[in-house]
Amino acid sequence: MTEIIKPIFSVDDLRISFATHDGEVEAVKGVSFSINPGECVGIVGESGSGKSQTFMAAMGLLAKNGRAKGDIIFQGHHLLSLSTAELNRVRGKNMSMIFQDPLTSLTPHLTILEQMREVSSLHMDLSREETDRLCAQWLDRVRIAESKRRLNQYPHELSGGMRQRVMIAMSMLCQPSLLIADEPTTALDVTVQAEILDLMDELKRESGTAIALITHDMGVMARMCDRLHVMRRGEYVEEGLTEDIFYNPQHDYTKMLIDSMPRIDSPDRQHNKNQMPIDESVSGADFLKVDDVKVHFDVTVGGGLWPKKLPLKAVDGVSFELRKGETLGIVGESGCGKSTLARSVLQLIPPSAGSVCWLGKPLNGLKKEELKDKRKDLQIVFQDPLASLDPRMTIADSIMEPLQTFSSLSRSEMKEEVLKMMDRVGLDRNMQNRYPHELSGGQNQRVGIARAMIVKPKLVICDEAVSALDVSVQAQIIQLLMDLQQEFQLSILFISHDLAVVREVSHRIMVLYLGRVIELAKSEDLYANPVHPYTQQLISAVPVPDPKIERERKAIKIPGELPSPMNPDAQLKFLPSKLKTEKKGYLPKLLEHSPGHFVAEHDALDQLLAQD
Amino acid sequence: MLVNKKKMAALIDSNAEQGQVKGRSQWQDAMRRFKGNKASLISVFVLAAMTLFAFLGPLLSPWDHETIDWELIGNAAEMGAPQFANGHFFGTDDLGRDMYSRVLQGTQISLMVGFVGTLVAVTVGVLYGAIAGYFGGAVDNVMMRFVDILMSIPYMFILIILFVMFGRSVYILFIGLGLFSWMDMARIVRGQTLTLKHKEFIEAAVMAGVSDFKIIVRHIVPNLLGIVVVYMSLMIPSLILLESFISFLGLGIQEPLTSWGALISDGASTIQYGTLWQLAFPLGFFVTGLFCFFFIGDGLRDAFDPKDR
Repeated sequence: MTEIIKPIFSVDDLRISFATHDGEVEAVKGVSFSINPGECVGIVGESGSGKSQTFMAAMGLLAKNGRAKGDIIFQGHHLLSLSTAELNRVRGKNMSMIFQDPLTSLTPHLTILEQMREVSSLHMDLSREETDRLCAQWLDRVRIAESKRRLNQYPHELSGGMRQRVMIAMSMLCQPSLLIADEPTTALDVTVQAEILDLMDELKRESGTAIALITHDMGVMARMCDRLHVMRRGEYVEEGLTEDIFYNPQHDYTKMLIDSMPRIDSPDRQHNKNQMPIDESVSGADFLKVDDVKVHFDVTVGGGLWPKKLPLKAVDGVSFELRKGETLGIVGESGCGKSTLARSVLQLIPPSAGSVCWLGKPLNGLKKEELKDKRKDLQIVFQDPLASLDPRMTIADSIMEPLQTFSSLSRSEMKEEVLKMMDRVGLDRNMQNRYPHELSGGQNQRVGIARAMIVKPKLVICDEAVSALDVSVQAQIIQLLMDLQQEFQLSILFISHDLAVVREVSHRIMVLYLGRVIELAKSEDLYANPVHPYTQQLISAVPVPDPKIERERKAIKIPGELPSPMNPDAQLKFLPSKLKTEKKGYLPKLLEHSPGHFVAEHDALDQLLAQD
Repeated sequence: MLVNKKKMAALIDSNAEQGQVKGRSQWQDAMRRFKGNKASLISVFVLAAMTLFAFLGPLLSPWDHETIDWELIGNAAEMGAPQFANGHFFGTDDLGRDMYSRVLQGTQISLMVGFVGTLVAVTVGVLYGAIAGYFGGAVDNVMMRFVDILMSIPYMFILIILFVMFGRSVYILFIGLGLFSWMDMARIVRGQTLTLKHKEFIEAAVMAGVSDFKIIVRHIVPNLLGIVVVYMSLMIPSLILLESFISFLGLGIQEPLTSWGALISDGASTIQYGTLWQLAFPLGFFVTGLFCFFFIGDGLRDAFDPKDR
């Protein structure tokens, strides 16, 4: 087949290099590939492998210090030798691009319609009415409800998933023959990701648009792509049909990528076996007890002289207990209050109501000095490894900081401790005088873990600690955390939006939805037998890195967008039957479904799917 | 031009792993970028030379800045022109005082006004702004409203009143300038602190039990240095300008001491008699000095904030 069809996009021995202060850095080292019409080709690789630079060069979006050699041919145009004016006629019309962050790629001060008009006026000769009709049509096609109203809204009024759909609609407006999607779903929640991927797949089949999909997520690849290129350090280490690559990987790097991807469908990954066993007969009440914690922020609504202040219920009555040495996974989509909950446990944000008891004594209401003593036992590892380290301190100084307050060691003894801890977390001793910006993300996260561990805490909260890392690094960091847990009898609150990762590390898992617990169960229970429709939806939306299984799986779609937490009825999204019968503000209760398995009140899934 | 910064950083990251890159702090990075900027580097040298000349130059001249050459008094237009024969390299002013010594003396004062005033402003402003921004809430409100109130007072009136009440001296000038110039700094620093304090590394420091004051001194202020340095380099010339303006009005420095502004004022008032050198020399120094400061400021801004170019 492929010999007969002429590829619409082909790259021949492309080399891209950047002039930096450290000399010439070669990002892409001679890659060649082609994309046929109506085909989805995936480029997979970890951060820094140069996967998006290839397409940046094709779109003429290379950074100023970048230089591209070789040839990129798109529909007979040699893109690298075109002038900007000529390139403008090709890009946007026949070839368009979707970026990772849908907020920054839309202009904030233009309405959706104005932005779409801009595209069509450049590339199509249509009257204003025709344009507007076309725009509305496309919004319908990307399944945005109330498209007429949405057209006149500004980007910030739309949710992340809707913005990405608008981006897709905009890039499809001129019916391009090639759509380049650069990590189109990485910034989105899993349920939204599932919808966007379905949408792209549909567009591909309906309009025959070829898609170049760039991502680091093997699960997404398995779902979407016909052919795959695995990229590493600017070179393709393996290429071929998706099935071949997944079931019969040749290169070690590909094998490693597939192996280190946590899978939601198979819990018995190798390193999972060394998860620490815990004594389930012990209650966690005298270790960490969180009782009906609420965190409300005042949000000013409306303008005028006397604007109304409404409480935004970021966390709205969460209770749980944690045993010594146990890992409790907290999952939920963005905005469900998982990070706020973590910070209120640590008293970084004081809870508005409820109590946090640590070793039998309440943490809230303590004075600063008393709290400082407790903090020796409570530490946190943050999501963004770079942002969590002071850019002007060497990493050894950063790790040493907690010691300076909590221990009475001399400076040289502290230094010795720091070096030991660096060994422990797998950092080279001669890196001690490096600065954070000189280390990779994984190394920086090790620094963050070392800083948290150096005072030998009893509880560590990992706030999306591995989410910003590449899969291979992610696996190493999880391994490190579990080793440390065993060594120090550590309890961990593991917060993540990634259900597959949480499954690997946690003994028990708590699912949050808009600041309330929806389901709380033992890890195996939750995945084998999810009861709440929301949990089922979440689990069904996670892509599995296995093309056959993934393509047969069907994501559950519960109608409706994620409601705003300011909406009083938001909590009843899964209990619409109560909307009519009960008075306003009814909150679903958490009931014990089976021993140790708690589920919030809800309507049956079928009923929910049957709505509107 | 669309540059994906995260991507670039990751790219450099992954390449850094392949080959060893020497360890260096952000500060060193900035300094290296600064050195790559020709205009600013030249400005640094010119300014250094000018400063050195201002302090050592007077040794070369037989005249000092206040002694009147009685042979030339009242006859500046005919005999006061620059010449080597009588030792008046830059000529004399109307009173027969040596312009060379006076210009250098004025340079000393003007540079000093710039540097000392800026030092006061930076110290007070950074601490004030960092404290207001870090603690936030009511503290912030009270502190910043106080700044607002001070800012709404016309400082020129206050300065003039100060001069009238306490007499014209260098010290009053320093106090007067220092009193008002820290407020902009405080505002800028407060804004920066507000964005910094929600960074995760500050939260990490709180969890590490570091006290509030130490967090400000160890984590917030060092991270503000970049913007402070840039603002400083723009503040020095603006203070010099301000002093010149006050001196031009006839206030400020007390005779026989002088400054760029005072000299330019004198030179401008006698320009009709054809004594061009009385204006040209101080003006030349003044313009060169300011140019240098602005170039340095520009270079520093690019060096500390390369992404906004």
